Amino acid sequence: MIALGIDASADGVCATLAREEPVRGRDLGQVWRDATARFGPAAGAVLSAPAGGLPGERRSLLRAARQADIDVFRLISAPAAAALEHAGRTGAQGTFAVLDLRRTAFDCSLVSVDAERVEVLAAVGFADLGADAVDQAIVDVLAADCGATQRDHSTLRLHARRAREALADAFDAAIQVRLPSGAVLDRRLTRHEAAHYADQVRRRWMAACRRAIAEAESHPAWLDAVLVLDHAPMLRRVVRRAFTRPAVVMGPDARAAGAARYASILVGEVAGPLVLERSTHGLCLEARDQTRTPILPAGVPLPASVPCHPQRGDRLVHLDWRGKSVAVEALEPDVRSLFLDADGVVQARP
Amino acid sequence: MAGEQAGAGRCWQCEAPLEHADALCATCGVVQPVDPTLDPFARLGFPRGLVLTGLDIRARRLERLLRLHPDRFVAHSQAARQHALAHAVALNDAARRLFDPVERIQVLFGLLGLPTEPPDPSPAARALLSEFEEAIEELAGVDAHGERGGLAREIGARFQRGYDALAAVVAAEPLDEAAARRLLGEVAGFRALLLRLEAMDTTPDRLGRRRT
Repeated sequence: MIALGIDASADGVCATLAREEPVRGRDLGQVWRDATARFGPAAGAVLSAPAGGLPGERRSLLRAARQADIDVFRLISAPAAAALEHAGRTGAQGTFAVLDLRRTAFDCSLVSVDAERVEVLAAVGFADLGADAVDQAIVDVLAADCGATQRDHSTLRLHARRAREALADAFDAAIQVRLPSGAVLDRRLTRHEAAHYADQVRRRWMAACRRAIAEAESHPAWLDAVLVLDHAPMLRRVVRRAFTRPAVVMGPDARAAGAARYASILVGEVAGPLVLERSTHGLCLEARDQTRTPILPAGVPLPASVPCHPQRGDRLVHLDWRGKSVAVEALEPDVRSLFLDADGVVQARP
Repeated sequence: MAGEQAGAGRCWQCEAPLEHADALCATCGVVQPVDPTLDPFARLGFPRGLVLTGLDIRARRLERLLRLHPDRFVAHSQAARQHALAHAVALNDAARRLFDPVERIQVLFGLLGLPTEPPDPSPAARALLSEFEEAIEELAGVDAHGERGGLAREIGARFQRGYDALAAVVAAEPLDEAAARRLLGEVAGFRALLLRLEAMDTTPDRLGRRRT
């Protein structure tokens, strides 16, 4: 019996079998069909997803897997999968910091690995501040300069990225473009400006790294390795400042490879550790008058269950590590408990 | 492992007798239903008392969770997986409730038949708490990490003294209910102050870490 590992996020879908070349695509169902055609019929899969993604993302991913007839053994966070892959490949054990930078999201997780368990100690990040954030900051400035409208943003993003890439070899780059709305942009972007925007984003990533270390009650000197999954050049300075050591660059396929490794552990093909996860968002009830009642803090070991007694009109608010609301859900008044399953999905139960 | 599954019964799958009230059947290895009557102390195999540390609780939770985690039972039936999930939830919830020292006291009070709501502190304790409250107010909005740390240590030491005294009262026979209730009020007061201080701490400590 074989089982696949699949990493899925806004960046795309990547499926693999342990120690095989991955299959990539945009559609989960198509990738599953291609992967089973290449590797043979699979009993199921372990999915990996960003640690700090929006609460609805995991639910949508599981729904998409159901629609594609995939038997999902477990949905684990990408940093846990990467730590498992690193430990499996190198035999290393200890506490790792895993930096998972995607196009639209960034997470820093501290993961403890030994022969019996891969335990996520803390996971902190931004669901809206990924590798594209620097380009977005440049787009915002360019849009303000030329009075661009919302429909011009994709064109601006393309030119911002080209200019940023051109700055690797030049001190400034010219941006001359007529936008779909008719506005004309003619300006030069200097390396100094681009560095300023990149620094603003990096500072926020560093804050997340420091917070993750604090939440895990750890210290940069106590870590055994810093693993970077993707966009390594963008994170070089973050790693140096927050962890004062070089990183181990694993590559984007490490997430799916780790999920595949866990899948082979779950079906009994090989022996290995269990993945123990934590919730990445806090939960609170918000009444009609905006008053909030905390229900559960972030970082609770999964699975978990907590009593909840909403009044009519109360809403369930998901809070990130800064206490900022990232998602809001309606709750029926007959709900008596909230159940956080082992996949990290919140279910309201009567 | 005693304490995970109360009462001798029979395995729901192979009907072998469960002699030692284990969560796993010794004959077929299948996970048994959760006993909802177990209190958090019994669930984690601790005697009822307050002589517990966070490390003990973490280690015991991990030890039991690794045996009963639902991922161990992927190849088993749906019912077995549901039982494993219920065990994992029960273990995590028990550990979470015992990990917080004030909730740990309240759980124990509930089991001893005492009121679990912290009473108002005694006049002497109230005066001390107000003094600390004023000191905290003075530090609000000020970048005074060192002073807050000093205050937190002082309050933490008083909290610990109260907790240790309460642990001794609860362990003694017969139980001095009045003293236990009084100490719960004090301990809960100090704990609330510590949480307030922690929430205020926005300055980086010597490791460059920011709390909020």
